[in-house]
Amino acid sequence: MATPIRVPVRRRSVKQAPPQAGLAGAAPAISAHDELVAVKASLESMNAKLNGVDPNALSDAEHETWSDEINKVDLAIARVRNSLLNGIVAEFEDAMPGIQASTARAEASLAKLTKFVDIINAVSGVLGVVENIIALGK
Amino acid sequence: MYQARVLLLIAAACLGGCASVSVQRTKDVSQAGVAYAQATEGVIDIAIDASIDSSSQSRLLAKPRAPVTDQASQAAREGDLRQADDELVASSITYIRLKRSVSGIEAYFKALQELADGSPAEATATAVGGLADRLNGLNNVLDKKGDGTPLISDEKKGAISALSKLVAAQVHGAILAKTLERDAPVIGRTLVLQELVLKAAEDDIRANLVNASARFYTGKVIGPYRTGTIDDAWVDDRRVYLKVKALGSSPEALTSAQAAARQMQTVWARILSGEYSAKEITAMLNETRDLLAAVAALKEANVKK
Repeated sequence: MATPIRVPVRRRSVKQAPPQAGLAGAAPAISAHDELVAVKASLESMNAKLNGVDPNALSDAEHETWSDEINKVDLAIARVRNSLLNGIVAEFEDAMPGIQASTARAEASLAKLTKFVDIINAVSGVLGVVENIIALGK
Repeated sequence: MYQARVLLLIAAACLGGCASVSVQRTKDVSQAGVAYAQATEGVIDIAIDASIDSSSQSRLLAKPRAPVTDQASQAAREGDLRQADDELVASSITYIRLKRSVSGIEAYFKALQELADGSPAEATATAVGGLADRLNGLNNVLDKKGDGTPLISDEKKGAISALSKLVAAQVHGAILAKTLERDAPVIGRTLVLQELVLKAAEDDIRANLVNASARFYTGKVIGPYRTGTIDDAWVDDRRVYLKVKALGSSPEALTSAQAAARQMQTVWARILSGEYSAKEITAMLNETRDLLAAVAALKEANVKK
């Protein structure tokens, strides 16, 4: 399922595929994020197959090729992962000031509620002092 | 006049939404939000290890058959590992940055939880009761007739305290309802992002498990079987592999994170759609009953006066 947001990818981004002529609007656009997820899944599937190879069943030449493939796929996965995570982190850090402001507002609301009771107690305290002063003066 | 003002205040507060529904709703959402954030943070930690381990295990499996003695090949291998290391360091740093952002969401839900738990109702009732006592005391010392009749009777004081408690609860509920409504777009956006983080972390954990499973099958199950070198240990290994394949191999942290995500989505959808559950309606009715009782008590106290 396509994710509902477009995550900008800052490095090694996979650009969004333009709609094909005559097919515009026929299929939902796939975001760069979704494309990266698909590429990573495909590389991981390839990696799982390479990890399932029995090294002892390979000739020396085959072993060398297989070993080289494993290392290349491993590096490719790491690069795609970074592109993917960088896209999310950029979007997340863009949203953080909003969440921090909301947190501060929630804390301020709590402080206001406490203050409300404090004011009543303060008024009560002042009245008590006035009462004592008047009583002393009698 | 005073009574009319109090009733007007109550009516106004009621229009802002019933307090206990808002409080319960905020408690639900904040509890689910904290659980979701903590579960995501736990999964991120596992994903960092999984991504590094997956790379190391693959490279261990694909090690050269004989030690590499050629200097050019050694340099090429070193360069290759350094590139992979740089990428893994970068992804670990990014995961840590994401964890920090998720902690920011957790802090928001904790603040919301404190706000929901911080009802001033009891404290207001006590403070208003104390204020009534002070007014009585002051009236007593100023009363030149000195007949000792309190300005506010005990009965009336109790009714005013109870009413002020309800009004404070309504104000608290209205603040919570307003907070949820105001923050809904921000929280909705961060929850979608948090889901993406969780999915990315899950994919790394699963990929590591799938690779480990593939190596296990080749090395311990199909490999020995092909060459006919099987023994009693092979029986156990085959059972382990097949059971893991059949039942799935989600680690506990992933399962709990998925459960938290589902709970969060349900609660959040309810908040946004404004649906009321039976529990909420009951709470709302109880509250209305308390409010009517308090108003009746005040009315009765005024009649006695």
